[in-house]
Amino acid sequence: MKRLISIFVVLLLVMGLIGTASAGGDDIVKLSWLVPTFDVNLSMDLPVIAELGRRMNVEIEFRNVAGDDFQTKFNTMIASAKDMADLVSTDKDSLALYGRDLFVNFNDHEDQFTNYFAVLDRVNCRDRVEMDDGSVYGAARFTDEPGMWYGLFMRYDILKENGIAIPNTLDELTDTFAKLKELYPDSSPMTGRWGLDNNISFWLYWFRTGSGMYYKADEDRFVYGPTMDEFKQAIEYLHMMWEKGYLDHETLTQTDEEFYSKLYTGKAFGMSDYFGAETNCNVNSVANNPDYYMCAIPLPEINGVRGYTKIDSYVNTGEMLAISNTCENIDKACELVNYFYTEEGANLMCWGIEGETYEISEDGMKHRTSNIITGNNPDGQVTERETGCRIGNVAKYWIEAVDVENYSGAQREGKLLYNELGVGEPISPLLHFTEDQTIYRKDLSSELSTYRSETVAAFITGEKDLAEWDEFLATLQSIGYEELEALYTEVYGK
Amino acid sequence: MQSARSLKKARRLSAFDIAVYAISTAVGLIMLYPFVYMISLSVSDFQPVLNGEVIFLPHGFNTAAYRVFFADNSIWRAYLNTVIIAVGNTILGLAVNSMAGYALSISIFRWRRPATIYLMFTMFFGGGLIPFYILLSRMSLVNTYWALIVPYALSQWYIMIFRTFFSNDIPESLRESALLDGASELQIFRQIVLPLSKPVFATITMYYIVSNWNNYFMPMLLLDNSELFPLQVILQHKLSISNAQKMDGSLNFDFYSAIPVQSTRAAAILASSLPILCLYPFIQKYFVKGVMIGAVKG
Repeated sequence: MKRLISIFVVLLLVMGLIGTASAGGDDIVKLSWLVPTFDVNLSMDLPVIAELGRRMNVEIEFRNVAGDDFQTKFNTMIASAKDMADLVSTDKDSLALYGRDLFVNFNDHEDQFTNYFAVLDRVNCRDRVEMDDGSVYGAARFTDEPGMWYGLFMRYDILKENGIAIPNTLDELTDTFAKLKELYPDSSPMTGRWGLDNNISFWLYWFRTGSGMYYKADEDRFVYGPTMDEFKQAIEYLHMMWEKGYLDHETLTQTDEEFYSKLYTGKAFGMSDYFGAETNCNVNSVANNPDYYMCAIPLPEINGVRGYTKIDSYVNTGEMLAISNTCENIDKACELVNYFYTEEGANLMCWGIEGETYEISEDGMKHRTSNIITGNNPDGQVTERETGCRIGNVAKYWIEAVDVENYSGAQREGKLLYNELGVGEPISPLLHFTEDQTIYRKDLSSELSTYRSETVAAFITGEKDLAEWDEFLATLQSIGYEELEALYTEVYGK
Repeated sequence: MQSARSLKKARRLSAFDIAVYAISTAVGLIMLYPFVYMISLSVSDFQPVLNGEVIFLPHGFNTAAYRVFFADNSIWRAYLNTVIIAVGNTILGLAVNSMAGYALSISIFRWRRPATIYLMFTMFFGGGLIPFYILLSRMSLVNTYWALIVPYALSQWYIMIFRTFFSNDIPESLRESALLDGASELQIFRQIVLPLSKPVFATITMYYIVSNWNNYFMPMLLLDNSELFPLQVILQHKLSISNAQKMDGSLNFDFYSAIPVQSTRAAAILASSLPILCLYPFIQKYFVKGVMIGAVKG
């Protein structure tokens, strides 16, 4: 009897061991992820994130930090080197500073990042995520078809109502402003937000220039914007707009609410802003005025050349995902990060779950299901983000087609127009500065930027006479823009 | 007849009184305006809000912003977390600070002066944020309620207020009599000092609750688990999201939300500050006396 009991106990132990061992393979790996949130708080409760967990056999404990305070929390954790999450959303600048000490170098696990590196290599962008020594400390957000950011928008319905043609050249644009001001003296043809400096940046693009160092494609060199003729022309034009009341003077100070309310109520008819702002105007105004239609107009032709718009790049190094050295399951973390760059992973994080967040039509195209709110389906029940789809910092491979699906009519029309006109900015070559050069560049740029910003605002508002332009350039020279140009030329030459 | 005349004379307002009333009323209205504006924004119809037409009184009536705000389960959890932290911190803080203040108020306490100087020193010179974070992390307090309760149980400022109150408002002879009757220090504190110190306790309670209710930065820094987030952290997330919605036109946020961000924001601010506003009237009678303690007596 004793022998039987012994055999039974041994059998039980063996079975238990086998059971434990087999169960071990299915153990869910827990990973923590420090992430800034701008949309929804991330959790495993979101359907798409839950599906991600099921597919990857992971349970992610998201440490959500409100986007505005993310850098404070990140800095505290970095400084204390304690309680670092396994996965950390950050940017390339932070990784350049802390990557070596705190984060996993992807090159040491190259065979685990085959999809990530393949995606980067496909568009020759691996150098964008590399540090000056070639190491890679994070996975950047990748966009398969970079989209446009900036647009010049006007009320088409107002132009039509008054028999004004859509302006095409700078002179026509000026005439349009003049006519609108004459017809509606209490309104501004153009308004803006976030201060004058922000508005200047749009107009500098229209004039094919920039406020700091930028790559001048036709001359194949880096130049300092304020010294260019185009820059002066842009400031002169903005000064003219300011003086004649074509540009709303409250652009300097107004809040977003004031900015939009002017556009909704006909106190302003146009803006230089981001794509999507026109959709806000249309959606929020159409109830009051069914004819209301804000849409992008052609970027003006200046001296026979059309302006640029800012375009997204394939690789956004402002949104990188790093793996902490203290992560207890680095292999799983690598697997997860690499999964985001697979076709399946990208599809899951952007389109979501078939039947729940998207469906495939007969022509093989994907479309959002009717429960998802889009620009064309405002009556849906939830936003795609509330399901876990297309959340910044998490969807690492951005499928632009999802954006297109979401666009409202005006945004689609505007982007199609800009595509036809071919107004995307030229891609700037990537420069690798050493640590010392980076510090020198940042200090000098900051000093130049402060002076440039204050003085240019004064030129536009008339506080400073444009006749003093040479004095302005001389001061920039004394601060050291030539040294900055020389540095860029040296680094680019290498 | 004479008394009626003197009563009438007493009731007559002088120019000074009128000026005081006028200024007080004006200041009161200025204080009241942001609340009225927030209420109006949060309950107005959407189009007037979007058009910037709501300046003072509501335009129409719509409570959708509140419905959306309270439909989020994380809000209720956040209310509970805030109450747990505020109550825990207040109870522990009152106990620690009042007893420390009582000890420092006893004139024959040998270490009274060095202890006071030591406390004063730490009021002006702290270790800094990073060492504080590391300390809490090493004590395994990070990401627990205790991280927001234990370190704030001792406040040098509140100890000084208690000490000043006990020194000036509780006669030393009372303590001496009790000692002669055989009472221990704990008994004296509990049975004599506490019942006589309602104003200072009420004031410090109010300070604690309000500071905990409004505390955003430390919970943001010390808590990772969203289940533990207090109200202000959730509120900041919501306001941050509202800002993203209205700012990032490129991401098409605004039209997803049927409710203007101004309305959502106003509803969130009002809903989060209402409980603390309701608390004031109950403590007000002690508060006026309490707040003067530290101000006029040293």
